[in-house]
Amino acid sequence: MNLLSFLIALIGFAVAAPVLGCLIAGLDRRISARLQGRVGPPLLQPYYDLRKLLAKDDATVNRYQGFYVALALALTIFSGAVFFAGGNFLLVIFLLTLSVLFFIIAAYSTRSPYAEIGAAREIIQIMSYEPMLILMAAAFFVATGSFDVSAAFALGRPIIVVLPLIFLGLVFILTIKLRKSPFDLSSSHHAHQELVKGITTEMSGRTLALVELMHWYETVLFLGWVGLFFIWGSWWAAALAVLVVIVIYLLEILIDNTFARVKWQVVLVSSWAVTFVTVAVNLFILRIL
Amino acid sequence: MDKPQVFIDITCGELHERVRDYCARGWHFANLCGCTVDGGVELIYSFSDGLPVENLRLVTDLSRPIASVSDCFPNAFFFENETHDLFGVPFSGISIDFDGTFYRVSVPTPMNPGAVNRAALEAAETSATAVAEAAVAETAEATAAAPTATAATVPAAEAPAATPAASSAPLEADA
Amino acid sequence: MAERTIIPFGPQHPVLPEPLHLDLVLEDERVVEAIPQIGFIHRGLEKLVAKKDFQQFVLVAERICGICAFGHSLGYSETVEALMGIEVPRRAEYLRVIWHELSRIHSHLLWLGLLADAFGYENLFMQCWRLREYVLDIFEATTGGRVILTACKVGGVEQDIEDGELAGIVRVLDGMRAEYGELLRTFLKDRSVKSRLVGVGHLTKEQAHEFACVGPFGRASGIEEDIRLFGFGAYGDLSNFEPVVSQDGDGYARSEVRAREILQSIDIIKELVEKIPAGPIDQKIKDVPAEGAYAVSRLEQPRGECFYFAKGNGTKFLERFRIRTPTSQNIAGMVHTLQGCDLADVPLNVLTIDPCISCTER
Repeated sequence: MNLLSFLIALIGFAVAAPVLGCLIAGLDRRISARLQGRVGPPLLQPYYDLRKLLAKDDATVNRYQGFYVALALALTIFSGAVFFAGGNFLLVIFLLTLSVLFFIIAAYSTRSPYAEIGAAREIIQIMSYEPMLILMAAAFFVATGSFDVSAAFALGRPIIVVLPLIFLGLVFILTIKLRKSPFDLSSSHHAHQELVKGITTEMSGRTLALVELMHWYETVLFLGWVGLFFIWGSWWAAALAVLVVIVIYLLEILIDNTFARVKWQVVLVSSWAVTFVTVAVNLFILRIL
Repeated sequence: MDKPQVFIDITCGELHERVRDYCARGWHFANLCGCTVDGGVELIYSFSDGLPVENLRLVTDLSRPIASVSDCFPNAFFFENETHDLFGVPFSGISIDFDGTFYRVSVPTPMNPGAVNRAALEAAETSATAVAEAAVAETAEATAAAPTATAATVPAAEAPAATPAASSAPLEADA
Repeated sequence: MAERTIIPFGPQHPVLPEPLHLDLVLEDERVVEAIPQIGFIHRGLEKLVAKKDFQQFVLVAERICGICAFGHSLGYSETVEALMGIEVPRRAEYLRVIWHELSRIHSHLLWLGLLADAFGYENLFMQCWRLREYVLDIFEATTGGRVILTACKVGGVEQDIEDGELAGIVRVLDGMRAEYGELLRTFLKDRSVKSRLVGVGHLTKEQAHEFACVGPFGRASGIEEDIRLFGFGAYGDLSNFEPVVSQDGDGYARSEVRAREILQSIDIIKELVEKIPAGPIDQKIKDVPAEGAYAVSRLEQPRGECFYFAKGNGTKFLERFRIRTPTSQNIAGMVHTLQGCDLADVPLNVLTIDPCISCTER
C-alpha cells in the first residue's frame, strides 16, 4: 500500500460504502420484517431516517459528544480505506478499535446512567471479539507470510481452504460486531431493551446520524473481511466473494430473528471459547500439514 | 351461586387484634376501601381464605392514626398509602411509607374534600415522619432528607408543590 | 465496595408496558435495592360514581384498562348484581364467560409478546401479536370493538352471539391452536429463551403465600388458587376445571403457566359453546341499590384475583366502588424479586407479574 492507493481507496470507500451500507441496511429491515410476518419499510428507509436526523435540532447534553462521534466516524473511514487499499491488517484492526473507544468515550461523556452502562457493555463486547480479530491477523500471517491484505491476491487459492475454522470464528463474532441478537448487548436497532438505547441513549440529531453512517461503513468493512477469505489471484474471485458475503449476511439476519438476547457473561465466555478452540485447532492443523 | 357477604362492625381499637387473628389463621388480606361518611371515613378491611370472605367495617374520625397492618400483611402498604392520600386517614407504622406522595394528587384528599381535623392530620404526619426520619438519616441518600423536613413543616395544602421533590425517594420506615 | 449507581427505571421506558417508576440502586450490573413509585396514571375514576349512575358506570369501569377491559365491566356488573340481588339469565352468564375467556387469551398473548420483546426476541413478539389479531377480530365481529367491548351491562349482556357465530369462533380458535403450538414450543424449549427465564426472580411457595401473590404469578410458585374454581356464573357448569399450577416459581414457570392457560381457555370456550342454553340475554332493572347495602365480588382476571367492592346509598348513584386489582397485590412480590437480580433481569421481573398499573391506580 502506498500513499496513492491509500488516497484512492479513501475516496472510494468514503463515497461508495455509505451507499452500499444504506442499501444493505434497508434490505436487512425488509427481510427481517418479512420473517416476522410484517411488510416492512421501503428499501431506502435508512436514507430517509438519516436525512431526518440531520435536519433535527441540536439537543445534546454537551459539546464534546458530537466531536468524539465524528472522530470515531473518521477513524472507521480510515480503517476501511487501509483495508480496501490492501494495507496492513493489524493497522485496520487497531484503527477500528480506536474508533470504538472514541464511541465509548462519547457515551461516557454524557454521564447518563443508561449510556454509561451501555458503554460498559460495549467494552465487554470489545473484550469478546478483539482476541478473535487479532488471532485472525496472526493466522493470516501464518498462512500468507504477510500482514498485508493485498497478499491475498497473490495466493493461488482462497485462504478459506487453509483457515476454515478461523472463518467460522469470524462469522461467530460478526454477530457481535453487527449488533445482532443474541449478542446485541450495548445497543441494537430496537430500543426495546433494558438500557433504553444503550450506548446511543443520549445521542440524537446530527450525532445519531453520524452513528448511523458509522454503522453503514462498519457493515461494509466487516463484510469485506468475510469476503477476504474467498479472494485469490483469479478473476472470478470477486464474484465468489460477493456471493459468500450475501449468504453470510442473510444468515446473520436469520440468526437475529431466531434468538433472544443473552446476558453479557454468556457473550464473553462463548466468544472466548469459540476463539480459542477455532484458532488453536486451525493453527495446529496448519502447522503439521 | 351466591357470593358470601359477611360484614362485621368493629372499633378502631379492635382492628389490629382481629387482623393478627386472620393472619395467624392464614387468611389473605384482600382489600382496604375507604368511603367518606358523615363524621369521618368508613374503612372496610376485607379478608379472604379461598371461598369465604369476611369484611371488617369501622368508622374513623381521623383524630387518631390507625395502626398499620403491614406488619402482618406486607401487601397492605399499598392500600394504606392510597387511603392516606385519597381520604386523609392517618396510619402509623406503614412498612413503606410514601408520606403523601404515593399518588400525585393535585388536590389534597380528593375523595374526602371536607377532611376534618386538619391539625390532627398534620400531627399524625409529623409523628410518622419522625419515625421515618431516624431511618432515613442512616441511608446514604442525601436527597431523602430534604423532603422529610419539607413534608413535616409545610402545611398539607402546600404538600402537592413539594411532592415532585419528594417523589424521587420515598421514605422507608424499615428497609 | 463496588461503586453504586442509581438508575431511574421508568416511567417512560421502551420495555415497560405501563408507567411504573423504579429507583434501582446498582452495584456494577446487580440490583441492590429497588424502590417502586406509582401514581403516574391515577385518573381518579372512582370519583365518577357520583356523576354516572350505576348503569352508566359500567362503561367507565371498562375504560379503566385496555387489556382487562371486559374483565372490569364483568366484575362491576357482578358486584352490582350482588348488591341488588339481581338474577342474570343463564345465556348471558355463558356469553360473559366466553368473552372473558377470549379476553384472557388475548391478554396472555399480549403478555407473551411483551416478554419476548423484553429479552430481545423481536420476532417472537411479532408472532404472538399476530396470533392475538385472531382474537381481536373475533371481538370486533361479535361486539364491534377490538379492545373496549361495551358488551357487559348490569343485568346481562348488551348483544347476543348467534349459534352460527359461536361455531365460527370455535373454528378460528382451533385454527389458532396449531400455530400457537409453534410459539409454545419456542417459549418452553428454546435455549436462548430458557437462558433468560430459568431461575430468574425466584419466589418460594412460602414467600408467595406471605406476599399474598395472586393469579399466574402465585400459581407459578405452587399456590393453587383460582377464583374460577368456586364456580361463579357459567364457570360452575364446566365439567372439570383444574388451575394450571407450577412448582418452580421462577420466570420460566410463570411463562409456562400463562402459556398453558391460553390452551385451557380455548378448551373452556369450546365446552361452553356446546352447552350454551337458549334464552334471554338480559334482565330489566327497575329499582336502585338500597341504602346502606354493601357487596363484594371476586373475579379471576388474566392477571389474577380481582376484588370488587360496592356500596349503595338509595339513589341511582353508587356511594362507593373500589377495584382491588391483582397487580396491587403482586407489587410487594415484585419488589422482593428485584432485590439481588441483574439489571438485564429487571424488565423480566417487572413483566412477570404482568403489571397493569392503569388498573391499579384507576
